[in-house]
Amino acid sequence: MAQPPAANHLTREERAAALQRYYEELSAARKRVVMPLASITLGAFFLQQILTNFTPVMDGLVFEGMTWAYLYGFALFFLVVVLTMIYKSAMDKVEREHRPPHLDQTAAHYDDWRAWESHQATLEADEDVRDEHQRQALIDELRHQHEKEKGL
Amino acid sequence: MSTSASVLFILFVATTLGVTWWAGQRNKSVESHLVAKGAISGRANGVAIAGDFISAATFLGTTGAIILLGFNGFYYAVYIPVAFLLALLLIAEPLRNLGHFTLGDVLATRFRGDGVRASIAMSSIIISLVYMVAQFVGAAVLIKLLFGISYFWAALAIFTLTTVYTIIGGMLATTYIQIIKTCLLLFAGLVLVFMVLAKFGFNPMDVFRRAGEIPLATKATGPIEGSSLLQPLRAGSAAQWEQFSLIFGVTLGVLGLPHVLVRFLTVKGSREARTSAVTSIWIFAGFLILLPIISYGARLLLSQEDFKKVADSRGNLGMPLLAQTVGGDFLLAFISAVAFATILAALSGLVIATTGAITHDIYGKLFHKGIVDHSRQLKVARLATFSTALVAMLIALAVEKQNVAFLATLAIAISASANLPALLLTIYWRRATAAGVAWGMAAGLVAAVTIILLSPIFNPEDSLVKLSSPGLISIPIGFLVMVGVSLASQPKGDALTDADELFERVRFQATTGIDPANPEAAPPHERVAAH
Repeated sequence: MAQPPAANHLTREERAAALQRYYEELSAARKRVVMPLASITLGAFFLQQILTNFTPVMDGLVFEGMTWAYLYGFALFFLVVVLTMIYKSAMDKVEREHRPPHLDQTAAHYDDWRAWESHQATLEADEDVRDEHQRQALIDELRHQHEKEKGL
Repeated sequence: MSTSASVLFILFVATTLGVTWWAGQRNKSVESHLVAKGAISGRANGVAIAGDFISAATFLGTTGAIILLGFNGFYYAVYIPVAFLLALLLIAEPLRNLGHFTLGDVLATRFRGDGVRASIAMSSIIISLVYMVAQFVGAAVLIKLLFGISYFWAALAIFTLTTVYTIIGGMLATTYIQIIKTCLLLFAGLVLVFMVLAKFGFNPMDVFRRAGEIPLATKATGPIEGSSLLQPLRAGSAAQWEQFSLIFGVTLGVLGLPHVLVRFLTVKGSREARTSAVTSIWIFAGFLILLPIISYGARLLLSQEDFKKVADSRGNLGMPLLAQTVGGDFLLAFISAVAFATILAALSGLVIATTGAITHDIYGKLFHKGIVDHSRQLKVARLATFSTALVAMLIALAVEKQNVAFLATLAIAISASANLPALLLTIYWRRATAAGVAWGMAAGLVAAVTIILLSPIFNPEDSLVKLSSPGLISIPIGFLVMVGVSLASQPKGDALTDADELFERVRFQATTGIDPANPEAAPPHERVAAH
């Protein structure tokens, strides 16, 4: 069975700081890219709908066998593909440059879910043992206090 | 049914049952049943998403619409890549980062009470069921036409196979059957394009040039002098607004359709969700741009008698009859088998999406507050899968003689008017409140249904509302009510601080996939998702 990846040696604070930087970079990239691309998409698409559906400006021929309406329609397909590539490359770049490596060791990124579940079960068992130790320590401490009080 | 059709049909059913058996070996938990344990790769999921949306309605309906209406039919092809680009930009990644099994999970990360989860679960079930009945009826009619069997047996065959795929194989089988179907469909499309172009010296412009010589025609006016199939058809103000409302509704509706959105939950993370959306968009763009060539080829190559059959079937028989004309009975059999595969794969996805809302949101979270035995939940999931398919079939049998074409429009209008505002405002709007989201969803749903009831569909002579596609009215109503009620129910004092903090956490998790409330999320032994 596949073993979970080795934990890295960053401290909790370092991991938190890396994560915060990653969030800020991703948010900034999304703000920079998503609004313009969504606006262009909606604008180009509904402009086509309005021009073809309510006006005759797209009825004419660009050349024989091709109307402006069809040319616009085909251009929309190409526009969508280009915008998709712009978005993907922008987001991939941020992830490549700023994604903290330790995130790839978390559950959501495990290739083998059974390995993850098994690992999780082991940790839960460890937690049970730890809880039992803590409970025992508490009992011992209470007993000790009680004995001290009795001694007094 | 011809011998070649029978052989292809048996081959397809045997292959898909083999996939189902293979998936069944792995379908041992609720996670695998509903979201394939998040184990589907981004590329494979993208192909499956493309398959979900290049359904029989697109494959047969859009080509038929272009054959009959010319450019106006092309509207039904253009909106699909646009809608999925919007889904990529606005929904796909946050959805993957916030969700686990259903859309309800996404809303529940921000709104803790049961009301919002119940609202989106009900809305998802209604949308999927209505959409499923529309697909079921269309599919049974199509199978009846293609294979010459009765409506009842067609519906029963669809029910039986869909149930077997989904109960045994769950989301994993559904996804791989969808992938097989998409590959078959793309291959069929390319073969048809090749054979059509072969008749026109491999010059697509020749197809367009000759189609441009055919005038537009409507039932009311007959052929319109001076017009061309390459031009938009503007058949009066009411028809133009109807057309606009329909496209507006379906474009935004894609962004709220449960059976499409849950596919983004079957991958490991937001990076894979992004790859899924990009892959599907590229397939849409590559395939749909070819539809005018196939459709105009059909218009030019089909005999008068065949064209009449296409018109009588509202365009659905255009592609099969073209296949018969250019490739004989074998190609007809192949296209029919692909159409059958398309129907089964689309219905299976719908059944799984409905099952998720019933099993996870209603049974698991609302009835049992999340404390539920997993093996019992899997049994409930399988029972819900069977019941969902059965209910859809019974309704489809009951409405056999009715015209239910409006149901698909209704489902997608509810999706755009209820689910979309809820998802967008939950993810992006700080001032959204649970009351606002719940009331907005109810308003969007009621508006879509009411407008359909008051439309010419039910009152052809004297309708109060002139639009049969409610999107243009119901979508703004959904958004406005959600915004209005949210503003009127703003929390105050400490509750406002808590709501702001929660919104920041949701933004963080929607962007990175990490729940910041769980500071232990970083090392491997802590989970990412908050579910």
